[in-house]
Amino acid sequence: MSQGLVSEKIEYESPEDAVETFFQKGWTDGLPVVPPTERKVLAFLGTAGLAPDEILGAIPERNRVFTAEKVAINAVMAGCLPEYFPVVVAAVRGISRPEFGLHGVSASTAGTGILIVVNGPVSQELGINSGQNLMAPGNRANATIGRALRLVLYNLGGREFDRSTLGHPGKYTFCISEQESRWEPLHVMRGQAKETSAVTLFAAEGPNQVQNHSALKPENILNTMADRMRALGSFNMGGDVEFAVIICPEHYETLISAEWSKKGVQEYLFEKACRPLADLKRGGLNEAPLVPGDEETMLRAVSSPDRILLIMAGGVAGRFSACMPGWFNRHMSRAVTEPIGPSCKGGT
Amino acid sequence: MSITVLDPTNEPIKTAFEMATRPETLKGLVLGLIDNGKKNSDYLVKKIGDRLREHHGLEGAIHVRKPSPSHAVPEDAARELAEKTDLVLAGIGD
Repeated sequence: MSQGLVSEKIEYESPEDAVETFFQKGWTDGLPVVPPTERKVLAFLGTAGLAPDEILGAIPERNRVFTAEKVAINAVMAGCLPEYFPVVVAAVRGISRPEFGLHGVSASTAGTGILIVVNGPVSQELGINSGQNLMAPGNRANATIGRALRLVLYNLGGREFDRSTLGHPGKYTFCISEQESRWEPLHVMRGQAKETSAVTLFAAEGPNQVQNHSALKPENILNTMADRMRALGSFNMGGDVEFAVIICPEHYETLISAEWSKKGVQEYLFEKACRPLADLKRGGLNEAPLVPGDEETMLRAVSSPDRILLIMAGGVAGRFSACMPGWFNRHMSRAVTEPIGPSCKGGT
Repeated sequence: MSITVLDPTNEPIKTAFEMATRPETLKGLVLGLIDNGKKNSDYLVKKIGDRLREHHGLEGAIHVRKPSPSHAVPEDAARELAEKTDLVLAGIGD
């Protein structure tokens, strides 16, 4: 019956007892979980076509390994449906790639969350929200896929390593999908085929909302975004970190009506999201004394246009876009894009 | 109605290792200094190395700076430390 499962079995008098004991043992994110029964876990593994002992990822600095069985248990607990599991698997594989720097991302006092952006046919098939209330509660796929990743980090990666000063709400769950549009999808810009389903993972601050309801010119909308991107208190200013930018449908309509491509938007934001070195010195972020020329020496929020992860998503009403600074620097963590495995319906 | 569930946690993989023999004196030994790449880490471990050399007769020191605090010491640097030093001090800075 166990079909190779090795996890300890624990018997409780009732499902309610199981849920309560999981709280007491520190096995949840502070919310109730779905009791992970053997039947459910086997269904998840079967959907993804994975053997229980297949290793999906690891945090080598902690000697921690993520097996398919343990990841499936945590995905069940998060409330996922079996068909979501291949997306969770791809996310776990992605964050385990060395360039993502998972040890630092999941330990840092900076309290970064892990943004999951789903692209490709699987988004529609699984009903992953790319529209209204994009980053808010209410949609099972978004809520539980993102939550599964956090439970994996806590229960398998070692929650004791998380030393966030503040953290942010996206650490509960932080999963979105990009809308299909005339723009090139994020996963295609990052080297995947359009018909491939993929997740892009990015260690991100919480979303900074950018409203502009009056501008009708693309440049004006993007100037507003650039203003938020050049804030002094992120790792981006004066550093070398990626940036996620979400353009809402109304802003997108203004941009696309004027034939702005994603690359054009990236290049414009790259140019405009900058501020004088003098500002960093006044903020003490650069400890060198002010010297003549500092007002004219401009520092950028990103070191090249393609380091802006540009996503089109959100509700059809409202001119609210958003940006999310990255974590620390690109030597420690870079965004990764991972194809969703062949067992996932619609994926490649 | 009872329910049987599966433990969602794991433990770190345990690897067997032996602790290095502790030197009784630092005199004439070569010290490896690892800084984690964060701000001031290089300054901190260098100062400690200087003090140990000054007061305890170290022969020399080899300084290794990690390219990223999030990652382990690169293998070639670890090999150099193993081959050329008698003891290693890992420091952090922030």
